[in-house]
Amino acid sequence: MSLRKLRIFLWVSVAFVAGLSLALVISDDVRERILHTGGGEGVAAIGGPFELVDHRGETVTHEDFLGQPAVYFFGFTHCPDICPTTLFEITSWIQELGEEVDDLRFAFVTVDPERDGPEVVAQYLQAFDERIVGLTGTPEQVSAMAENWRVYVRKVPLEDGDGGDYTVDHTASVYLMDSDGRFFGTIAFGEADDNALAKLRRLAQEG
Amino acid sequence: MARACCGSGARDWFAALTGSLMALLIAGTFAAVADSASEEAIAIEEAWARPMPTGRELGAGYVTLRNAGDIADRLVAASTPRAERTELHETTVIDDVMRMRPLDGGIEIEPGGSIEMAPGGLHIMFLGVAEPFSAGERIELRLEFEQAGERTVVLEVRARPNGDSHHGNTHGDADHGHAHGEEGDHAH
Ligand SMILES: [Cu+2]
Repeated sequence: MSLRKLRIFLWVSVAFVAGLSLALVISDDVRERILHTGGGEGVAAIGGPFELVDHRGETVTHEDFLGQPAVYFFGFTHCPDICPTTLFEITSWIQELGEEVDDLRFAFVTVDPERDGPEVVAQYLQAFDERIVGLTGTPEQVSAMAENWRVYVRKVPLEDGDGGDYTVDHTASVYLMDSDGRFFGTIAFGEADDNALAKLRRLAQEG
Repeated sequence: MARACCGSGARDWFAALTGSLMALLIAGTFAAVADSASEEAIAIEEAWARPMPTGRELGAGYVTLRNAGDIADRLVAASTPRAERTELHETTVIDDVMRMRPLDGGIEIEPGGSIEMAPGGLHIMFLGVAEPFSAGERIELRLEFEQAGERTVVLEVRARPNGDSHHGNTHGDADHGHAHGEEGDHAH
């Protein structure tokens, strides 16, 4: 074997070993991801840790929401249509279900932390059921949660908004999470009340 | 012959006068009829607005517009003394993402057609509202149509649409809290 052939052989071996280890690392990562999605239970990996500030200005994390099933809605206070609609709906569901949802927790998470500080959120939520907790934080904190929770958020300028007016495109569904903080389901915007009530009952009983 | 001539001239003149008077009268009547027809071509129903949380200076209102006329009309603008700015907007929920955009070209109502504004769809957006609307209030709203001109309606302020329905699907059953009518049209 000539020196040149040996060199080529060695380089090929190095490349092979490197490729193999890379493949192992990747598959590890893939395996991990599959395990985290509930290991075949078919539960998507939506949710996870977050650190935010509530409407009283206090730091809250996902751990504060463990132990009880929870209902989350993502929106912003400058949203005139869908957000109040959904929050009024949640309010009416809470009233309708009464004691049945005593164990559920309800949270409104702003996707517009720049405009929605704790005081703004607190004032906004006065119009709705008092059990709905407001969550905000730094833009980084909120976008980290949105990413983990697969919440779509996009700031869009309003054309004739002179003072830098903007709206925020965002996920419309209400998220249902079980008492371990795992994804349980959603209630779509405009879903019939009977469906929504049935889902909340199931979350209270099984979540 | 001169008399006959002049006599007949006077008669002609008289006939012409009455003729044109009658024509004017008829034209006037037609114009009036046409006017009232175009005014009534657009019926405005289900006018309501959402109460605004304290501190919010914006909100949405909804109306249903029916065009009974033979020509298309277009809602081009809206205004109320209660808001600095009033715009026509559309919200869409596609693939679970809500988006809101201004409708700069207004909203067309086809002859014989109707437009139902509802949460998650078309709405009239109020910006710069000094005194937030509160439940039970009645808000005066002026609508400007391309054909029908200006019309005024009163928006009832309430938390949820009549009949507790979504998307304005249910009409006229305000006293029934759980009417869902044909509500199976959701993608989810
Ligand atoms: Cu709007």
